[in-house]
Amino acid sequence: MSYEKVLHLFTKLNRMPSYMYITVRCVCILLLPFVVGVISLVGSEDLSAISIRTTDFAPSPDAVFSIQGKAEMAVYRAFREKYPNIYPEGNSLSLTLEGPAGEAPLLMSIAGRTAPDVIHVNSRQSGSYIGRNFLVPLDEFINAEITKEAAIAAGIYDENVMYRDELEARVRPQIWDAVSRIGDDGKRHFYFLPFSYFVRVMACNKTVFQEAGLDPDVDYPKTWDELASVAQQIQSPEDDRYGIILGKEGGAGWTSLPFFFSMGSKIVERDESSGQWVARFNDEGAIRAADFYTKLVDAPWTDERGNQRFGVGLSDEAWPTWDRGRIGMALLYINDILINLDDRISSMSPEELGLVPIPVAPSGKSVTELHVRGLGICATTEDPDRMDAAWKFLRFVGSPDAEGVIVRTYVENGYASYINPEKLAQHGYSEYIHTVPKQWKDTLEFSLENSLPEPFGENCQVYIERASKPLQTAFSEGLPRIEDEATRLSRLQELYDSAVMEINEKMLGQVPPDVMAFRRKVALAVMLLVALSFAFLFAYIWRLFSGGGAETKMGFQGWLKKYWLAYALLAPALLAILVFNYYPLVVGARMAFLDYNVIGDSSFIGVDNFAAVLFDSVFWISLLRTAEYVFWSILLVFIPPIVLALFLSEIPKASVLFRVLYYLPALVSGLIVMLMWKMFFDPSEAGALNQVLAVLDVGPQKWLQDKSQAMVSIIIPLAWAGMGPGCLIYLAALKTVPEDLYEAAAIDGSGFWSRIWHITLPTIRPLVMIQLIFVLIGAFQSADNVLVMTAGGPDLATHVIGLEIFYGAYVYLRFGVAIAIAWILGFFLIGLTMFQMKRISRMSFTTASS
Amino acid sequence: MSGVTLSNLSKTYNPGSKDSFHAVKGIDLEIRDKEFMVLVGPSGCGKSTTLRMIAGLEEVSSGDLRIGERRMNDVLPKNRGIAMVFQNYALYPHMSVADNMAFGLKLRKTPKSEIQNRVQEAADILGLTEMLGRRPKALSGGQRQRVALGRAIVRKPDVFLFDEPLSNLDAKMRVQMRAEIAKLHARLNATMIYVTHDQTEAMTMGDRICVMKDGKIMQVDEPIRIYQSPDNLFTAGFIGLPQMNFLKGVVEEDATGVHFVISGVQELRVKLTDQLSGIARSNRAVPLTLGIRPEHFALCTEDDPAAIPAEVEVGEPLGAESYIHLLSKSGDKLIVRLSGIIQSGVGQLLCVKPDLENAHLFNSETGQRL
Repeated sequence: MSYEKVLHLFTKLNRMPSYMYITVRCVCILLLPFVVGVISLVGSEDLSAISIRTTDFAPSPDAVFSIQGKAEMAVYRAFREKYPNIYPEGNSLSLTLEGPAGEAPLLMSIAGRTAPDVIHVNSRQSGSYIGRNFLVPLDEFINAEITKEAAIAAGIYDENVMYRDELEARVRPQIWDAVSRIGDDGKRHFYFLPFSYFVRVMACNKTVFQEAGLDPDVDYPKTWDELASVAQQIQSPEDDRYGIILGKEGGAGWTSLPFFFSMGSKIVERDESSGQWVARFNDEGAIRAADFYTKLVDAPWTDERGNQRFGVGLSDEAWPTWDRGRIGMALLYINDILINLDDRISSMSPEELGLVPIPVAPSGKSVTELHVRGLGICATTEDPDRMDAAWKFLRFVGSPDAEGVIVRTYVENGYASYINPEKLAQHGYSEYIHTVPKQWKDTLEFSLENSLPEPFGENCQVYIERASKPLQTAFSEGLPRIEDEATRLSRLQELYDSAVMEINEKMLGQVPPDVMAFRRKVALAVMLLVALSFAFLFAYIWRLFSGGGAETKMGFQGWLKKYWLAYALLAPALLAILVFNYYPLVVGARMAFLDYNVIGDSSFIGVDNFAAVLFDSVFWISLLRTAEYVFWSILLVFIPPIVLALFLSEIPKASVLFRVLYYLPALVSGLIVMLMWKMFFDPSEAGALNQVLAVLDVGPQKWLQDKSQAMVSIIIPLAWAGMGPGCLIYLAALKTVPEDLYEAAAIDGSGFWSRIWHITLPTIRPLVMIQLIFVLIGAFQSADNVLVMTAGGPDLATHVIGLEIFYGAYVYLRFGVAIAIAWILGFFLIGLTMFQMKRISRMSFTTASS
Repeated sequence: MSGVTLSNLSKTYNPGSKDSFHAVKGIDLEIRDKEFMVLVGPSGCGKSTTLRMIAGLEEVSSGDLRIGERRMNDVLPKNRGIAMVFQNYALYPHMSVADNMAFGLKLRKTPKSEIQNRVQEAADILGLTEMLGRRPKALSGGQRQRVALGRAIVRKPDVFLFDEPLSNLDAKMRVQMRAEIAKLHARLNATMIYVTHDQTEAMTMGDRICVMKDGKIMQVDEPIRIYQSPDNLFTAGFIGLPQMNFLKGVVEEDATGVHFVISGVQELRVKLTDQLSGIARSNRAVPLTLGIRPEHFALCTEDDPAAIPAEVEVGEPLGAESYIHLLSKSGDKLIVRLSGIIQSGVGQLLCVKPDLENAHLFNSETGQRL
């Protein structure tokens, strides 16, 4: 339709009577989405055009705000120029979750078949992704056997295939095993390709060094001993100056990783004989590293002024202190193209920022962590054309061409002095090489050479949290404060032995056969108990709701004649419940006995999932946490509305105003309430609740980050939002209490409390019981609010059973285990459900006439 | 000694505001010890408010309330030595019959054995022994009210208060319970104050009746005296069923004697007896109302000096007696009660004459009996 025609239409519309005009407009607005949909469908019929979705390098409105975004956009444009018929689009995974749950959204989209075609993969995720068949093997696109020249010579060259020389240029030797796996066919299959490398180095704030009387270019720590002593010299809380930033909670496993590598610990290793992944971070080197790290955090020492101090740094939440330039050292990533890409250091000039390698360990080595960002093709992409487009895209974004575009973008934006000199030379900007700080260049070179990738076995994405646990326990036991080294080391050995065992079992799925046999027996018994309970429940409900014997005499014919209309009317609802509730339930029940794979085949493993659950300490902890959650729910969610309703019903004036005030929070939707309160719970002094406390002269609380406060802090928003609606229900019920009962009681001698206890509560008791059941069942099943607020942390303090199910499914990708937990949870709720059903069966439903 | 004395007792709801309502207007009433006093009157006359002030369920706005010798205005209900029976029974639905009765005693920390004895005793009196374990829901209306009575009895109060206790029962049950409460009064020998709008209950149960209207007391007296000599038009009209016939007119005297002249569509003259003549003569200047109860009419001939000719509107033969609704020639509606079965057709002309020995003269303006 031409512009003139549209204009003509509008002039016609304008001459219409106003009501018609409005109607037409409304219809137009309603139809708009369909029209747009049809147009886009028609548009995509252009056969040569292929659109793919990708997690990285897609156009985004935020791209212009960072140099990295600009570089990525430049790569995107270069790709579009080279392949004008391929349209990479972004993918919004806007849900952000805490801690290890952060990787869940992508996994959920894969499970839901809505994942992008090109997905982001890093080495610690690769094990799971490959193990769970999420990534397409790039066999048809990669030929690692021969070089390009050899291929040309042999006459088999294909432009679309990556040959050995290109592969070697792109994949650093350390991560060769991470990006590929040896398949059952004995051949090496590649699954993803890196596009960017990061290594962890020691960032030094030179100003802080100078303040402490140190020459940052000379006195930076070269060995572990020097690290401890330099940090001690800097550490001076009186001057608001701290030695080094060190993870103490969930981040400890991440911060300490280079120390483990430097001591030669393999962390997680592939056992060559069995081909299985085994955790090995309890070897001697690992224990030494752990000892050194815990001492850095909390060992006692005396400073020059004679003050007794513990540790030489600040813990996880100290990043704001680093940002305002009051911490001497931090372990941070530098990039292999733009050295100071990381936000924490990007604003510092070479005069302010020293970048040096990880100090050399007593083993004589300095090995740091290599973090790889890569892309792979998601297995949900099946169309060959899309797959081909996806390959072209991921091949391009890490290619020398793309790198050239990136380097050019950086140089053009004035970042030349911060670029890896090797890359400058490669892409024709040699004139800038001399401006790059030599120390930065040397450190990058050294660290890239002396680095290992993060653990990349199956489920290693949760390694960091798991590896933090023994350290956290050591801190809470005060281990670094013990002077005797042997005692420290033996205790650390114990902690790491059990951590390794747990990781091997839960993360990597390794259990000795005799233990497994015993567990299977127990699991079978428990499973039978669960099944019997459910059978009993259904029988019970059937008995409760099935009518008396009188109607059986009617015979099927009579029954049909009398009730056909009722059942015809019920049919759609019944069908919907069967299809959407019971069908998934039955299919899901089967999953409890499978090693379920979202993509590819699932194998039957009997009761192993139940065994895994029952002998997992986290499961039992989560049960305990659920009990805590339920307790607080009853105290803060169930009881207060009753009390409030009693008070409100006594208020002589402005009761409507109060009712409205208390109800208002209920108008805010659940997730928003959670996110809003999460902001209130900001543990810094600037946090809303801490400011309120400050007025009352109470110091800042850590709320969600404090083990003892986290659970209550999660419930408080629920109490706040649930108070009004709960109260309203009770208020309505209170109105049904006859006034003369109170009068009779007053004459009988009741006081205020006696009246509430003997008259009010018994009268509203049925409602109270139903509400109690709702709160209990809701509390048992809750997961979403915990996930949003704390994701189960800190240190499992809020890890309720609902969350354990979520983790089982979407973080560990063990759907079978998750379903098994869900069945056990259902088992716990059977009693409550029976009680509820009994109540409901006692209620009478009447019809106007028969 | 537990008489109840109300002195200038008033109740005003929402005083000072625009929906302020003066429910009881400074009444004085002396209820003697062990007396059965019935407060009767139409809806909104203030009888229930008065009872609730005695119970302590409503605050006294002004005036004094004494039970026995003690001023009770500010005493909590539980400390007034009263028990109350409500119209809707007000039984605690979640307690058994026995618990309902025992509740007040338990709160007073009465020993368990004592509670059991008293509950048993009350149950025996009221025939509730079989039902002690049941919940109120499983009882009929009459049984529930009996439980409410039991709850009052076990407390052994000085004063029993009844707030229209029989209104929710059917007619037959009402007659039965009426007698039971009367028997109970005789047996317990306690002061009882009984509120009703039913004049039959008032007449049959009360030692004395207090007739109320618009927050004021109209008359306090024994039932028969109230019936026979009502102090005012209101009492005369309220007590008695069917109600007393009222004829408006003036007094004229001529040679034949004193006549009550009923002015209306057609002027009717009724010759007064000597007793009434005397009263009438001294009130010649004021408009008067002649009140005659239905039973005080007789059939007569047209030439009788006191004859009131009238047309039959409705005849209600009940067997032992007949009620006949008449429209007099003057245009007044009359109900007469004649013994035996009187067959009368609608529109038939009848002459009735009032028994003036039992008639009353009222000042139409003040409503007071002359």
